[in-house]
Amino acid sequence: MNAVDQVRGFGAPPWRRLVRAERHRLTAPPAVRRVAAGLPLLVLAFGLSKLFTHSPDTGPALREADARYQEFIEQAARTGMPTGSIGPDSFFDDPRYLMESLSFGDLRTVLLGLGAAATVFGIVSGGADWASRVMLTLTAAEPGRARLFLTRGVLVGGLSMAATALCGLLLVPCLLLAAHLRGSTGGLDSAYWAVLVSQFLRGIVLVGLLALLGYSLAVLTRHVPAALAIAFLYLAGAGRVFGGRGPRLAEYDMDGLTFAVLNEKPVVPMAESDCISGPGCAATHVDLTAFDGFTGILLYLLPVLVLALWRSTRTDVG
Amino acid sequence: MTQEPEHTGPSDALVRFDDVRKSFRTARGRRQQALDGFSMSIPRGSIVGLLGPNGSGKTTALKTLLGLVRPDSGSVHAFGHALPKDQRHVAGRMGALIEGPAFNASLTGEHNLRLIGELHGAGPTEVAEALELVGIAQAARRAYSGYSLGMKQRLGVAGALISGPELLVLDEPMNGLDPEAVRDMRELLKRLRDERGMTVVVSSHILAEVELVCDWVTIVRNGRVICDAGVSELISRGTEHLVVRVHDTVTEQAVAVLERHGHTLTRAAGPRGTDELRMPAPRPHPHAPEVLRLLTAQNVYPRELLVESVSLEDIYVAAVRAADAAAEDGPFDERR
Ligand SMILES: Nc1ncnc2c1ncn2[C@@H]1O[C@H](COP(=O)(O)OP(=O)(O)O)[C@@H](O)[C@H]1O
Ligand SMILES: [Mg+2]
Repeated sequence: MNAVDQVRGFGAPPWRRLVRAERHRLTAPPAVRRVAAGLPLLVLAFGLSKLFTHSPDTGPALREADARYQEFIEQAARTGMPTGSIGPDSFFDDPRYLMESLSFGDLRTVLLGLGAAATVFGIVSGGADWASRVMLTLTAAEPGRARLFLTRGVLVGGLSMAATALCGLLLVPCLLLAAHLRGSTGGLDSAYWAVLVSQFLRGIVLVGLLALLGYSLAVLTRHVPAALAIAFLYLAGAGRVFGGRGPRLAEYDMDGLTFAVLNEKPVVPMAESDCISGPGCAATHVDLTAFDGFTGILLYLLPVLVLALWRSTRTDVG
Repeated sequence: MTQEPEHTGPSDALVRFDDVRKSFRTARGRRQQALDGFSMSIPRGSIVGLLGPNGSGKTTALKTLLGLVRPDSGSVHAFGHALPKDQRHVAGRMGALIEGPAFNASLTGEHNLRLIGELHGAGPTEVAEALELVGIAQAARRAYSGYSLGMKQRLGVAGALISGPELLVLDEPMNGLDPEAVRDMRELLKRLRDERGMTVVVSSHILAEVELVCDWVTIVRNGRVICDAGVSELISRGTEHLVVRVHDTVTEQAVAVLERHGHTLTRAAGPRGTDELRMPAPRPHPHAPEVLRLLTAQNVYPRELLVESVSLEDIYVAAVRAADAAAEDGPFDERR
């Protein structure tokens, strides 16, 4: 008796084997590997670019602010416009990398980019094996359709979250370096770090959910281009469907939801805010809290997830 | 020939379909009855040819066995387990190639095989062995996208073998193979049966591909089995013919003498100015010597005299005719 002859168990694969095989399959395609290797590099490049776009020397910016302020005063004098409390500070465009105020936005940019990439990764992971009919082989080997669906879904979400965690851990040192060399690390107290870490963790969860959304759409359609198109339309249009149906009857468009999840400041509902304008009020520009954000994204995800589970367990394969 | 479809099957059947029905909704919303009371059995240790024209339900039947398609009614048993309820318990015992090979085009043949093997707990040794077995070891490290159709089919068979299955299910595995590769495939199937005791079910719409290798044939038409029996038994049940080939100048004379002695003949034109006279030949002693004596007594010397053995094609044609006749004579079937 030789190796192929040996019966390696009569039944379907045990959990561990299924998870390992699926993990290898998801990460096998060269395109996926290239993107997985490219994303951290891109994030590093983004972080290090702060070294070139910022400068510790405030002199020129101060002089320009002064000049523009003078211009403004002259114009105001000519037109008789009141200048109020506007001083030279209002025209100052700080060239320094101020970690305390700028890092949140940069982290948000990276998290949003990773969220988009994760959606596409989810779609490819859920759909490509249907196009190649590999799903027939997999379903024959693992007749537990729900097991197969969930294993892959969890892996898609988990891998995306792991990649996001890694990218975030690469980004922050770059930003610190930029702040150290091209600006200021002032104000980085424990409160700052608590807020940054919480934003980062929320971002990781968001990326996982978006990956799962893409995956579910692809399993539902069994077609990568269709899932891509639907994902786009769905993310753009589902706000109309779900708007006003969640808690506090909020508008649930994707922009607002992701902003609410990724915003560094605790968002207060517009109605409860006494903020009228100015940078401190950015957090109220969307009338959603992070909790609302997650609720809304789950509202987007759950129907698709349930339908995808239904389709993959209850309908014929191939 | 079989008048009624046979569902008896052997006692040690590995797989048993009983009155399985399955319909699909087509794109235009009509229902297409793919399996319409499908019953067959797969005897252990044999090579079963699942034969039938395109669209007769072969693929659907095999998908039902693999748990890819759920039947509307009827029962399927494999290894003594009821399917699809106990599909989990038999998944590792079957290896399949359904409707052509399915692999990730951007990976090498070997990598693709490793990914499937991993699911079954098969390692690099088994992968190498499966590649060797189907004869594409030399192309193992090339991208699947660059494979010829024949190589893809072979890799598909290797994928079905990787779990070390007891039952190998091959749906049209010879599609796209050149004649030499078809012969290799037949040899491989025989080896798997003889050396490893595998049971093989191989579907085809082309009789000649599987005729030489099957122990058992199941003929499907319109989602129903119209013949399900051992090849040797079928052949022994079928009628052999004695064929006499004579020059066409003496055909009339030969016909006259043979008919005078009570032989029923059919005539057909043969090659190069000859005619062929065909008559049923009783077993085990076809009356060849008597025929030869009768003819030579009249100075008719046949160019050729042979006993034509029963071919699967004869059986196939007879089964289809019988089924069609039964359908015409039979009562109107409301299910259709
Ligand atoms: N998924 C499906 N959707 C609709 N019709 C199908 C589907 N699968 C098979 N059929 C129909 O069922 C019949 C049997 O098909 P199939 O089992 O593929 O036959 P075969 O393999 O013998 O060529 C055909 O008429 C085919 O069109
Ligand atoms: Mg077919």
